[in-house]
Amino acid sequence: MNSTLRWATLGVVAAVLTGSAAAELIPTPSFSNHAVPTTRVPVADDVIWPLVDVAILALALGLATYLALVKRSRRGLVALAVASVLWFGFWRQGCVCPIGATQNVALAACDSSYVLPVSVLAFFLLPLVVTLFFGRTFCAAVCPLGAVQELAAVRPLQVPRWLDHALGLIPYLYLGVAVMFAATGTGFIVCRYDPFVAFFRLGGNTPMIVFGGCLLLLGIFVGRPYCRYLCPYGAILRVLAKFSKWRVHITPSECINCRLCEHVCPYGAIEPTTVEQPAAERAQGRRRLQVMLALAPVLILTFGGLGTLLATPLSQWHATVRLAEQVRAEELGVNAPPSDAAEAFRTSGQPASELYQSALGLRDRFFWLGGALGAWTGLVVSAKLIHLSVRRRRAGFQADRAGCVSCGRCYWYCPVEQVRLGWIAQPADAVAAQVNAETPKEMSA
Amino acid sequence: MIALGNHRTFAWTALVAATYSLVICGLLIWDAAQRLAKPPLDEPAFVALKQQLTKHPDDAEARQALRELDIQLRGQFFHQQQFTKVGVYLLLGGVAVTLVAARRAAVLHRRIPRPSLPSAAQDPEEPIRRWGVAAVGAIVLGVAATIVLLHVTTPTLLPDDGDLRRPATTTSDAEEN
Amino acid sequence: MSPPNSPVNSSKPPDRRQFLTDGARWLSVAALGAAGGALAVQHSASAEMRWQIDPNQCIACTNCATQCVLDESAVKAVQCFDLCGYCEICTGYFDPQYQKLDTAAENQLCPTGAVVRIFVEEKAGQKFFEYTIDELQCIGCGKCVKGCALMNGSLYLQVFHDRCVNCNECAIAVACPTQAFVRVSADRPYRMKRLAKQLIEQKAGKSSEARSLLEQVDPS
Repeated sequence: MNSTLRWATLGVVAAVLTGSAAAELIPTPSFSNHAVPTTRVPVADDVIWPLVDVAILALALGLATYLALVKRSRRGLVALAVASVLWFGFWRQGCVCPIGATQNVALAACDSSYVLPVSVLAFFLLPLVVTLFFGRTFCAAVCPLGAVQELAAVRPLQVPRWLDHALGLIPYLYLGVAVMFAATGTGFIVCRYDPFVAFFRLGGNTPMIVFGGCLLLLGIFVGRPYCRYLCPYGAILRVLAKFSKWRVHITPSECINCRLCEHVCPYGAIEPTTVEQPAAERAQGRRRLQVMLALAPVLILTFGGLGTLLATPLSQWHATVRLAEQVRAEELGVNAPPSDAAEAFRTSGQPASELYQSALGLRDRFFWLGGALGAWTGLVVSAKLIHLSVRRRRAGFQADRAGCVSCGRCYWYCPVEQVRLGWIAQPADAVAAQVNAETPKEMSA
Repeated sequence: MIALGNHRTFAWTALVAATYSLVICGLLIWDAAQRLAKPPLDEPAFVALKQQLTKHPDDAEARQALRELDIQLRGQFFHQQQFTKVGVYLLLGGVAVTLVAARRAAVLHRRIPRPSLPSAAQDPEEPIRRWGVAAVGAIVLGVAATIVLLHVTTPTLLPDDGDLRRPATTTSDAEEN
Repeated sequence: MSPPNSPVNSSKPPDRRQFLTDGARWLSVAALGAAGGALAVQHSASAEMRWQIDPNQCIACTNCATQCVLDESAVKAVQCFDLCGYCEICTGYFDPQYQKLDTAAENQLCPTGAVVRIFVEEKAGQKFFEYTIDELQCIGCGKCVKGCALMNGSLYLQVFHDRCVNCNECAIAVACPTQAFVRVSADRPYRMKRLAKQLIEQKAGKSSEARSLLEQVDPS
């Protein structure tokens, strides 16, 4: 305060000294032997890069699809994963990626003043379209986040399938929250909590580096923890992959039910051959499905109602509401540390009541949005419950379209595939040891 | 035997590289924590010296000490930045070596998979279904509890809509006065 | 070779199911195409977007120095020489508690000594100094900007686009107390103070440098 006063007087004195009539601005002197330089700012010369990125993304998607579905080369996919980590990760520093682009698209859909660059739109759409036809080949080796976890999965253990089903709900909830926050202009939380971008930039805030490090460490033993239990874009891809026209086929001809693929898949995406159920069990299953179907509207409505309770907590993520709370706290004399934002607001001279009004308007919006988020949660949960209650028939081991990230491990290990490649003479060479040890009679035929 | 030896080499390489990465990682985190806890450019000793100098402008000793501390703090600031920059590259190298060696070791020492054969008697999906529903139920309860908890624990000071309309005039009056 | 436990039911996938899957796929493709097309027509620009500070909103709160995801912040101070008064007693250079008008540590405001003060001329008993920002030393804390705001305000903060990695969500923008961070077109990724811009526009007739600077500045 004192210093400000001192400077203010100094400023006046200086202004008087320089003889300026308008005491506000000290004129730039004209020198006898010195030219006043012009400000220089560094040029942003990488305007072309995003378009190059889109082209490379399309190329990489094509290559990944070819390697996973046609060439069936696990080695090729690993090489592509390394290339993706290097290019999209370390060289292009992880921005923009399709996962984050979801938020830009959501914001553009709701805010007409927001400008959505074509490259961002392309980044969002291209993998979706490819997934609709070929499954999640984007996840296999193009996405830098997926690729870095793929490379880290050195000794993956099997996560129990039931746990996998339950934890697999989190990405859908995360997607709901992320889209809501993006659409309201609250923030891009997927980018804020991106665990690996700090690695790609070789620096960043410490908590996120630690989180990313832990996730990568976990990824040595649990295959792709981010992709399976957090990634919101992965949630969209899972749904679209269910309608894919082509997908990874494990065995080139007939499945011998050796279970090697199921054993080797780190992502719990191989579904076993089904067995015939007795009539009684089938009837029980049908009853369970009916219960789940009846439960669905109850869950959606209950969670829709519960979600409205989130109006205040959700709205406080918004900068305007936070500012209003801060200004109000200082107005009421509540023990709140003074903030730059509140001080700047007071300096601006805008009446506080206007700020409160807009904050309350936002809170009303978040009341309905919270309800929608709750209903979405109920919908996702009931879809999962119904999914768990429906029986499907499968002849032979198959990759689950939704969960499969086309990493190629299953056919790499398939004995029938190894025969096709000419590595072994007959499937029994790969599985003989255990098959003979455990079921000698059945094998002797 | 050769394959086994190779496996050992790779496993040891991976282990050493992992230890090295952990050490570097620890150092980086320690350094970052130091920097966050005690930013060199906001050093209290420096501020204190400056105040002392303002009070006693002729204190030549304090002036000298301040100048020396200034140089030292600036040096420390840029040194820490450089430290992080170099450290991250070292860490990256360590992690890359760890991953490559660990993968090679895993490939050379492949455990023979011994999955038990599927039995026709029991439906393998039945327990998944039962436990799956239970786990989803747990998540549902968790989400509901979180929602209620957030609702209960988030205070708000914002005035009610009605309050806002009434005293709006009084506040503007107050401002005029 | 007969596989153990041969598949129990080898029924073909029913055609109805296939039909539904195909239908859902083509519906999805159509929906994505329609949504993408609508968004592209309404909101898209072939130009990329960049983050920039609107100096008219900036209050130089020092967040720029600490919040950037880069260890060395992408934000630095910029001097608009055409707005600078070349004062001997520069409020952006000298600490309010300065003792002498020299470059000693106790007199400087900048914590890293990034403001360079050079004597230019003495005219009618008045000394004039030119103040330049050393980009390598500047950490973007904005202390000089805050000081200079008491006088002409020729110093202001800008995101330097040779350093900025253009995060989808800028971490400084999240922390900015006055929402001074805006997205601007990548063709013209800088912003200027209104007054500075007027002065540069006046100069642009004579100087090509001023013209090229204006070409970099966001018109709004």
